[in-house]
Amino acid sequence: MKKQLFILLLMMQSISSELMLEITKGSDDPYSVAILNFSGSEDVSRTIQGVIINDLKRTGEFRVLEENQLLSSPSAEDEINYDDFKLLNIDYIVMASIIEEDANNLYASYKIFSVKKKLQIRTSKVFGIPNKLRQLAHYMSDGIYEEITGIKGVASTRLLYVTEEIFNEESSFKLIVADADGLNEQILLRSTEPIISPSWSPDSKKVAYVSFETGVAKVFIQDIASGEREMVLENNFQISSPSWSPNGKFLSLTLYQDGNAEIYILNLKNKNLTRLTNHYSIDTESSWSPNGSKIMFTSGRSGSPQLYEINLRKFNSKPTRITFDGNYNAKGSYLPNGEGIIFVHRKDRSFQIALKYFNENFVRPLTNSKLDESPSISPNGNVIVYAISEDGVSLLSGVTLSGARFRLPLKNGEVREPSWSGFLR
Amino acid sequence: MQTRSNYLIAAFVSFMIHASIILYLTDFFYFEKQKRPVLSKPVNVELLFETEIKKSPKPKFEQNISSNTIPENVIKEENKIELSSLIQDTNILNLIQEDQAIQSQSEDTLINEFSNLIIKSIQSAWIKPQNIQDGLICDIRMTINKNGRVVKIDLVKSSGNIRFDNSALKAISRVETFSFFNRIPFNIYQSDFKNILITFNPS
Repeated sequence: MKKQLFILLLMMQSISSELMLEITKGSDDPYSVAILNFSGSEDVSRTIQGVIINDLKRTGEFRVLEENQLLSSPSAEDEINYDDFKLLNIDYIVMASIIEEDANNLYASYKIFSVKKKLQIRTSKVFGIPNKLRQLAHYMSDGIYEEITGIKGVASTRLLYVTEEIFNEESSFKLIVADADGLNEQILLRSTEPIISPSWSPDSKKVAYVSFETGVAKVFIQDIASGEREMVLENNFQISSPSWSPNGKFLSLTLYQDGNAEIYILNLKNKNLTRLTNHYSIDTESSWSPNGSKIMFTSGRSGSPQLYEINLRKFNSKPTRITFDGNYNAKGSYLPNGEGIIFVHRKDRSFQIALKYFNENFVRPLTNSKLDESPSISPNGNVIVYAISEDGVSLLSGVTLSGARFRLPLKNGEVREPSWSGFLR
Repeated sequence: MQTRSNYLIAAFVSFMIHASIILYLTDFFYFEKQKRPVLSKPVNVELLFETEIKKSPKPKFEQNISSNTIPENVIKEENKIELSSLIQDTNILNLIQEDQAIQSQSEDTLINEFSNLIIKSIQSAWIKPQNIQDGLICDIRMTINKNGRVVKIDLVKSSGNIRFDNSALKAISRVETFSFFNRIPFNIYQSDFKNILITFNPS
């Protein structure tokens, strides 16, 4: 009885005083994932596996090992010898099988095993159709990414961009929507006049863009599924850089109404225009904060392009300057969690994509090439896609906040102004 | 009325039981236990000496006849006297205090050693996200069972950044088991290593 009392006392002690440890350092090695060969018909499982490996590598957070790099190649859960994987410092094992039910139906079931825990940590089924294998693979890699990192994956999201091809001295512009890896393209609009600043609606079902097809810059909204399009304001002024509010009810625009670019907010339901800025210098490139309370824009009111923010929740609020480093900061957009902004920053004659957190007083450059422009951030806030100019040709490139860089596959002609969709699931 | 008196009796009985339990826990009956000696081993030693002394007289008489052996016997008797006086002087309470002091010293070094091991194993498993803002700190409480397996992970205080929080949570789930936990004495494990609060503070 005395002993029990003693333990009771000790337990009371342990509640009041707890061991506190502090971790100050971390390692840099990425998660190691072993992807075993998928079972199922040879070519189908090969393509799906290839897409998944590509998706995971592109995030920069994984070291992907294929079956020929492993010590053993189990085909079922009870055949896994975890020590074989432990020797190679592998954290997770992915095993999948693709089952074709009939000509129009197939599904993939995949399992993720943790080598440390020595057990299965996830099992999922993804249903698909045979001619959309890439989509199925993207969903699978998003599931794997989310299970391992705890952050939603973006492999199944889509990109919007503009391409320009010069053919017989006549250029043709295309507005294209593609998978996040730059493949599976779908043309939304073809025009001989320029198309600029495409932007996704928050539900990722519509896009807004500026087209010069009528001779002046006009903003159009187009439904992706049906292809129906409408002009948002029918007047004679130049309108540019549309940006959707997070609730999808408003569109912020730049209007050249009195010979000078100013930011306006358009109510999409009743087409009411509200003027937001009034200054003799240029105000343009507006973007909304994730909770819709602020609008950021580029303005030349200080003599050089800088980013300003205007609070919509306050009546008659004045724009406040938010960038102070360097003499060129433009094309800003907020991080999805609202903790910071990404923008184009000029440093020593080269234009880079930079990141600035609001609670820090310095700028973090993310890229280091000569002419990077129009950054767009992925919905999970982890990847930034932007246009680079190399040898006079512009193409799309990406950088993850964890430091990995990747290049999207080359297209014919120049590729500009990427815009990342929201989550599509 | 009948039922009510039954209730009263039951309430009284349960009150008595609970009161006696509480009194027992607060050491109300402690005076009875104090009579029992806490240390049993020193007492045994004393008894051994006593028996030796009792047995010794018989050879004494025999040895007294031979003159050579007398001084040896004297020394032996002196020794015995010193030893017994030492034992009588030392207070049992003092002994217990000394014991506890030594024990707590070794406990501190053990706690230090094992907490360093825990920190090292978590540091090697933590993939610190890059391009993250400065000054992010998150607290995580983990519950570990006797075998060193992390049973429960709780985010006590979030840093506000999901990438940072997830990386910290994943670091602990990557460690999963601390292999050295079987070397930790049970009472130290109970008092210090059952629940551990870990602060991730990269700055």
